[in-house]
Amino acid sequence: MGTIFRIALRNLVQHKNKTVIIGVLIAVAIALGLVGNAVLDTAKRSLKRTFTENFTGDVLVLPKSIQGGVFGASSDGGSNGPPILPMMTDYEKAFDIVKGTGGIKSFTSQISAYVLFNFDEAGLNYGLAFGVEPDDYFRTFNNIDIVAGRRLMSGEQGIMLHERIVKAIKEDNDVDLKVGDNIQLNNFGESGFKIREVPIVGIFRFKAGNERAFPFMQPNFVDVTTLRALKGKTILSPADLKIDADTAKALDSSDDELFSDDTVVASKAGDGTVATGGGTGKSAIDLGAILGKKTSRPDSVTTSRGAWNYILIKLDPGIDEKTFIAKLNAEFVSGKLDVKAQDWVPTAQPDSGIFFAMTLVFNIVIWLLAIVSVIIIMNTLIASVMERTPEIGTMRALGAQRGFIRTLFIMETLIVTVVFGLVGIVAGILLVSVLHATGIGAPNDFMRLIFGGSVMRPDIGPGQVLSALVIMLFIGLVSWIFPVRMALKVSPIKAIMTE
Amino acid sequence: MGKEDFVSIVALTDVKKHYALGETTVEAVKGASFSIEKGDFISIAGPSGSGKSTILNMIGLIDSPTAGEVSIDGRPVSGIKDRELTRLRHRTIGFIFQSFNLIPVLDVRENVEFPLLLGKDSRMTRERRSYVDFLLEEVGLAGHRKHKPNELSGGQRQRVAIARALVTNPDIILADEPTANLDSATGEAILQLMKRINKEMDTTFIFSTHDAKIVEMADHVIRLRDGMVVENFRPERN
Repeated sequence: MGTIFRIALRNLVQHKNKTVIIGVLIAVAIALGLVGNAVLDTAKRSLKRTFTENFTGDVLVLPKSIQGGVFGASSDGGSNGPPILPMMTDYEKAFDIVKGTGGIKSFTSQISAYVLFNFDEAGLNYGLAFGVEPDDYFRTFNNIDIVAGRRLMSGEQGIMLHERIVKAIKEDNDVDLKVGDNIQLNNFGESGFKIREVPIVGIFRFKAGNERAFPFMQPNFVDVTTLRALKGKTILSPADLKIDADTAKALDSSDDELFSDDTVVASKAGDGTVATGGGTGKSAIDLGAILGKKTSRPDSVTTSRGAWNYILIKLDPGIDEKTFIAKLNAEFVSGKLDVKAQDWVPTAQPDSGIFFAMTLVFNIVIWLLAIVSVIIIMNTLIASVMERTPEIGTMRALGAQRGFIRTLFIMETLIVTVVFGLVGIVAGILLVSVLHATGIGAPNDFMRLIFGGSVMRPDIGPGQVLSALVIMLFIGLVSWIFPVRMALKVSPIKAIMTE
Repeated sequence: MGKEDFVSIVALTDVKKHYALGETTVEAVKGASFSIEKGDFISIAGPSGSGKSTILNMIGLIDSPTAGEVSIDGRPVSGIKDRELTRLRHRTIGFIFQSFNLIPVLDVRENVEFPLLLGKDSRMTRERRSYVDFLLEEVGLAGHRKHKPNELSGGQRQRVAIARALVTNPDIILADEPTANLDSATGEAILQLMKRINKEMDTTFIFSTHDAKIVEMADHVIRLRDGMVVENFRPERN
């Protein structure tokens, strides 16, 4: 083996131009792969942190029929396009299972819906609303800075608008929204078109690193009662429903009496309800809740805990997500619940999908580069075999078995691959260190989302080095196959035939 | 030693060799039969295209006959697999090439040592090296051990090739036109060296040549023409 190593090494030195060309190619491929993977892995960690800490939690429990997550991606659209997310029919049982499972730091529930902001003559705008119990939600997700006004309180009806949607409405609709203004929200729920008017209690921005790509994708926080009503869901259980004499009378009224000119007189600003009355009374009730046909809404939840799309869970440090999800899902299956637990990746669609598509494209590019390297190395080795045919023939004539020739060429390839691969790894580590020190600026909101802030500082870990070694090994192992086969076909007679 | 005491180390029996050259078939050797005795200094002579190199290749186990049989040391070699053939070649035959065919990246000593590293040589490195040095001294290159082939003259390179051919102590050394790339004085010196080794070490030398002067030095001549043996004789020595 020492002889082979010596001959291989000296051959490489003797043909140093070829060696350097091949080596530089390998080193560049490895270094690029390393830097790219370091950037992508750092971005993945940032993206995960952004979503798990701000939007999705570590684990999300949701109806099986929802494909995607808190942003409503991949779910069926309603009549006007935006997705209608079904409620959890087994929320109560799922809630109890989650509550009884160890390893949870905190959890909260949420509804998502796309809503229309209606400004009458000024037109419409479009946004994403998260319906939450504010105290509960913001205890789990401490993710916003108030720009104006204050945070929504539990039990209060109102909306907190993201500053970018306020800006977009100003630009698109020329409406200058301020804290204290009322805003009309429209939604095509399963039981028809719904309108609610709520006060703006605050304008916020997310803390650094959780901006989404477009204003309409930014979540705005609405009290859950309003959003449920907009989605056409039952908001009170029968036990909670206290009907006074006026209401009972209204319910007993005929259609003509109910819809005569003086029945529904006005939308009572701010509380999201409709005043009934004229001369019949002044009490406020939710007609949608009372008149809605429950048979057409099988996923409506008639409990005091209300209707929810999701339970968002943050885990204690050190708890393995996959194990936790498997455990929850096993319990859901055993309880025959129509819910599932999933991690942040499908939950963060479409953003995570875009990111993973980018990662896939990058990996394809890296592997293409590796394949191109292999082809170039292969061609160079073939030229080398042809050039060295007399030498190979001589060795064979002198008694070298095919195995000797094979080992010689593999050794040459491995020396080049390992030496220049290591050079590539060192160069990659240095480049990543430089990028870590200088930082990579995010050119747009989506990149800020992925970078977890306006600047990303990539880190390198054993995973990236391992993946670089895999590429190195691939290049080293694959590129010699054809040239060596060619070398093995060289007959010793070639030595004699050399002039 | 009487003629009856000679042992046949190489025997060719009605050996034919055909090559396909485009759509035609070239008959390089047309039924050659002869035997070579151990310790011979034999010249296979003939003009270009007479088939001498082809016969040498078949004796050297790097080419196989289309028909007939080649036997080395009494053993027919047809049908032997490549691995065993390589082993037999390594053990039995040394080569001296017309173009020297030294391995360019190895120095003189390493070139000579190279065949030893291909087989099972139980000697220690130092012992092996001293044997190589002895051979280099024998061929007059003791002072050139560390030189690379491209630092040597043609004659020196051929001396290295001779030392390399001898290093495994083979029964047969094949030399295909060993002096073709050398000037006449160097060529003669090389032939004298080969002759001396032949006498001192009783190694069989089989060399091809078309040079009449070189043929004169042989103690057994096989002359070929158009792929056939036309003469097979031992010149009388005064």
